[in-house]
Amino acid sequence: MGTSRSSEEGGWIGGVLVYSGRRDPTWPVPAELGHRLEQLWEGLPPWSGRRPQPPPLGFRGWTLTAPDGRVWTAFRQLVALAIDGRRDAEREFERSLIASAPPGIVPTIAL
Amino acid sequence: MSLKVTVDVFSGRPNPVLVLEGREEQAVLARLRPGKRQPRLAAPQSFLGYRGLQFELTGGRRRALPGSFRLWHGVLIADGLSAAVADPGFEAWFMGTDGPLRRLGLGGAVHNLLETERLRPRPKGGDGDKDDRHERRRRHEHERCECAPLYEPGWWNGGPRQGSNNCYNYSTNYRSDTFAQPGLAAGAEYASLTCPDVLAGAIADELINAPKANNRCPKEGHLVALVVAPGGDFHWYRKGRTGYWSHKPGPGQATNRDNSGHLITDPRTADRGFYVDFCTFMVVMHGHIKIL
Repeated sequence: MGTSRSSEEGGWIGGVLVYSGRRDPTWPVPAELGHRLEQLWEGLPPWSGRRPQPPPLGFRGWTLTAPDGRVWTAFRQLVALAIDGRRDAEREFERSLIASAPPGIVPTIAL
Repeated sequence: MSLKVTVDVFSGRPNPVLVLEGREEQAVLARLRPGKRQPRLAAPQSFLGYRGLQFELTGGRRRALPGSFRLWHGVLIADGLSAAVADPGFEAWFMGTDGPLRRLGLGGAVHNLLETERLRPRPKGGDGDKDDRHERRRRHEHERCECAPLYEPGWWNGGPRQGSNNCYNYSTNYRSDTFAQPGLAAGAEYASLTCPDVLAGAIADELINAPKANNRCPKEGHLVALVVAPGGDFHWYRKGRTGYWSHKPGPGQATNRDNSGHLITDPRTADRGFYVDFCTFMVVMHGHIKIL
């Protein structure tokens, strides 16, 4: 199974897209949470309609990177893996990801 | 007798050249007959991109065509000649994969590039166009930004190049693939995210502080602008050849829009989100800087 294989290769990484000059903050995400968020996303309904567009500068969303390189991006209620967008009305994906961040790593301007 | 055809499109590499003879030459010339007269158009020469097909006839002129002429976006151009070409599909056919140019074995990528360039609207205001002076007056910054980089987001956006180069790389037009930090290459990286500290780092990288530039392009090099989100981050813009500014937010895509979706005429007045401190203009002298 792809996920099991890749989880042996490295870790899950959380991140926030917020900076321009500096590198964006990232943090390790426990594998258990990574898999749970992946399953959560798979169960979300497809996004329909116009997608929210983050501004060029400033907070642009949250990221979850799997060990195999797949990257989910969460912005408002949209959680997208490549072009496959899903609607997370309760923003559970985002909240769980934020909760996994070590204290102080996420700049207040992103919250 | 023969007909030499040069596809005038490249800058660094030699332009493709094809020599036609015999029946093929006659067939091509028949399709190139001048049609309806057009407003006088000067030959394009000094911009990047497709500048037309240049024809040179050995043995002098034939029929209504001079010994040397150019076809550009359907218009035949030469001294005393400015007319629509008889066959408006000639350029597409000639440069397409089914046309004579295929014999040069240029490859699909070059044919695609030629097609893209051919379909690009003819630049206005270039090289003696009738409305050249008007255009230059309208876009008065244009003349003063000749040394500025082209706005070419496609080059920066996508692939690993996009994620490994940030606003500092983009503004200085210097791809280091290191997510460059002001001062790092000189061993003088900024100590805090304030205008004075980031500015000092950039100066150590050999950028030139130009606080009085007032949005004017320098005679040499190009203009960049430093802004700071106090204690949070720094950000850079660069002024392009057209006088408009563009930027690359971190690992994101290069864009010429601000946070309100407007074209950027002056970074001091652009919507910059939380980058509320405008620090200064600076000049990047091409080849002088080093960033990491």
